[in-house]
Amino acid sequence: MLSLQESIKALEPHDHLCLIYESYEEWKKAIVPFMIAGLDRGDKCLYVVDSSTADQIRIVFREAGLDVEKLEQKGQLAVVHETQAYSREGFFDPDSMIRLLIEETEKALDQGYPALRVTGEMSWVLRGYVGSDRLLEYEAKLNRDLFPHYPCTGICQYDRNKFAPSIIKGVILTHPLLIKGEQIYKNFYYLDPEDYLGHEKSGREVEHWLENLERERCDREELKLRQDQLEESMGKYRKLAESAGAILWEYDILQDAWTYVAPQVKWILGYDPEEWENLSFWTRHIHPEDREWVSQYCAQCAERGEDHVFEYRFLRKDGSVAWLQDDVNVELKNGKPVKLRGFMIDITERKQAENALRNLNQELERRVRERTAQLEASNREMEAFTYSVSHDLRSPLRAVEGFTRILLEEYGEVLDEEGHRLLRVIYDNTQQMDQLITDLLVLSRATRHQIRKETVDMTGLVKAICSEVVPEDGRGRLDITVGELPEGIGDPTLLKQAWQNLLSNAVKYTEPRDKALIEVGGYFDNGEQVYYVKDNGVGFDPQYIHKIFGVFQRLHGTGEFTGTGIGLAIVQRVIERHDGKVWAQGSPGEGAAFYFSLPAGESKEVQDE
Amino acid sequence: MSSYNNEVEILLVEDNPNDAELTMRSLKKNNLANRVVHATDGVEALEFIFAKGAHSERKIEDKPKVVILDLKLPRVDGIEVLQEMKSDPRTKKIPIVVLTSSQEDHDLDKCYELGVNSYIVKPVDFEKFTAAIKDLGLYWLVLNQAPL
Repeated sequence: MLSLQESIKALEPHDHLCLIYESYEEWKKAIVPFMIAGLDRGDKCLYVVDSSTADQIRIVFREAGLDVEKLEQKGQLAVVHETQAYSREGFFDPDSMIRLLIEETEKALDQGYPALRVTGEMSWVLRGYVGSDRLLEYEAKLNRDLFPHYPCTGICQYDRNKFAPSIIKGVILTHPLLIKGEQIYKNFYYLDPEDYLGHEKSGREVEHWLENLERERCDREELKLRQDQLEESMGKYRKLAESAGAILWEYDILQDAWTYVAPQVKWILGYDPEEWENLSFWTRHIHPEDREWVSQYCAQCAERGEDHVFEYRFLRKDGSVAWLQDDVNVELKNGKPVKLRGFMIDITERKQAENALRNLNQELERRVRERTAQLEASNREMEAFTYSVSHDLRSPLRAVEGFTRILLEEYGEVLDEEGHRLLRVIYDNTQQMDQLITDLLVLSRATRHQIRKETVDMTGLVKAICSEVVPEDGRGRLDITVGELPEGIGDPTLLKQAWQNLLSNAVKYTEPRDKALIEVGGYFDNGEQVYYVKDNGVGFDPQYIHKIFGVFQRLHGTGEFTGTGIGLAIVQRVIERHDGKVWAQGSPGEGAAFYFSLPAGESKEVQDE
Repeated sequence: MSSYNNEVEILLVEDNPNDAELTMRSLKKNNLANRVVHATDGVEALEFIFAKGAHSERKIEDKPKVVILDLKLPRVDGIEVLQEMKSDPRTKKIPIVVLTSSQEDHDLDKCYELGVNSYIVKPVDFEKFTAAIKDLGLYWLVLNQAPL
């Protein structure tokens, strides 16, 4: 329910009220806010005194905080005696009075005011200037001619002690709104001016009252209906609150008491709502490790008036630990926190799942670290092994080769042709073995070497290799064409190795040809770079194509062509490590073509060996 | 096999007798074998260089013109010999040629870091090996100006 002051503030132009008061206090409580509200709205305000004096009124307003002089000077406020208003012409004429008020309203509008606000002490009526009939005729005419049509707000002041009941009765009948005892009432007994001024007054009165009665009853029924609806919706909300998986709660800070704790608390945490008396109940049951920071955090947020959400552990009644998510809303009054409202959700399961996930991740990471360490250890073993291989296997090989040579040098003349041939076989085999060791080492390095992804100028690389790979005496017969190769993303060292193998193969297998034609090229295909080496050499039988990239796999005998069968295996290993593909085409006697693709990637540096 | 001439020109540090024989043969062929001292492991090599132990009657100042050093040696290996020699002001100027089977990058890197003068990988092919020794010998003993 609105207070009188608020109701008065809500009054609008066209409102017509009567104030029936019995004490000075009642009068002041209505009239002072009325005038102040009007001034606040910017209305032009007129006060007509009679039993008081203008100065007395001015004092009252000054005490209420108004700068009366300034307002009067400005013209927004005028305090006049009734003789200047109601009984100006020496006698009271309702019509001319109304005309006057209309003029005043229009003048106010012209002056820029939105409305005229007027209140008058009606006690002059008693001095016999006018009969009560004329007065009430006046009031009724106000209702018909002035208030509906002009932005004017008015309160007529009637001191009940002074007026006879019959007049008061008439006053009641002619004012749509009535202020009595700190309330504004919609006047039940109000008579429309038509009816009041009409002839069938009594009859109309009865009609009206009967209508009002019905309306009242309707209103009351409507009120009851609304109340039922409200209760129903409240009931729904309560049911919702009580069935939700969260515990709704409200805590009054000033009283240090929980004003509401939802019944779910019973089956979620095991406590009865009644047990939640004050704050210490809650803090006592927070998990000891969380108690301090939670208390501090909540106090700080409440102090700052900040809504907050946080997670903490809470002890259930049975002693088990629950993880709660608390959503808190802070209500402030005058800047100070007075109430907290919120809900707690049991997130124990979620937390457990999170923990399980974290543990799993940690476990996985540990395993990855372990495996990586194992892998690194394995790699180091490999390195030590290959080091050993390169050093220790070669040593005796060198001895065999060397001493065979010495034998040849020192005792060569004693040997016959067969002897020489035998020595040559030994020698050739040592060469073969040496090449094998070299190729194995290259293959191993191709597997181990950590790939560094760079942009590689393939054209430049190939051209440089060509000059290495072409024998001095072959310059004339060898025709190598290198086209514009697209840049590749990959490890320069490994790619060089791959190209070397492909090119030296091309040179080797075109040896029988009078003119060796080798073509190197590259193109883009579907976001990848494809490179090829084509030759017009002896080619190979395509039915063995699946073997061609195998380790130690050869499609030609050692007698025809030298080689260890590792060259293409190295190419495949290198390209595979770049996530590319290798393939070949060929036919016997008609040359061969070897292709490899590299995915287009971003060059990024991987850590060095 | 060691000879105590006043001037030792080559210190050969090689544990493998076959390799040693092949090397000596090459040096001999090129008339460079006269003043070669052969140490069979790192300990002997260091004793020789620093005139200690078995070689205490030597003088440190009688420095060889070049040291041909294999890396894989028993007891004290080639890297350590290299390190010892290059960190002592009396011996650090002696030219050292590493002659080894190892083509491993980290050996190469380590040796140069320690200040080796040359790194040669022993070729399996005897002819090439001989040629390398000849070149080596001629270079360090004849062409190169030895440090004081």
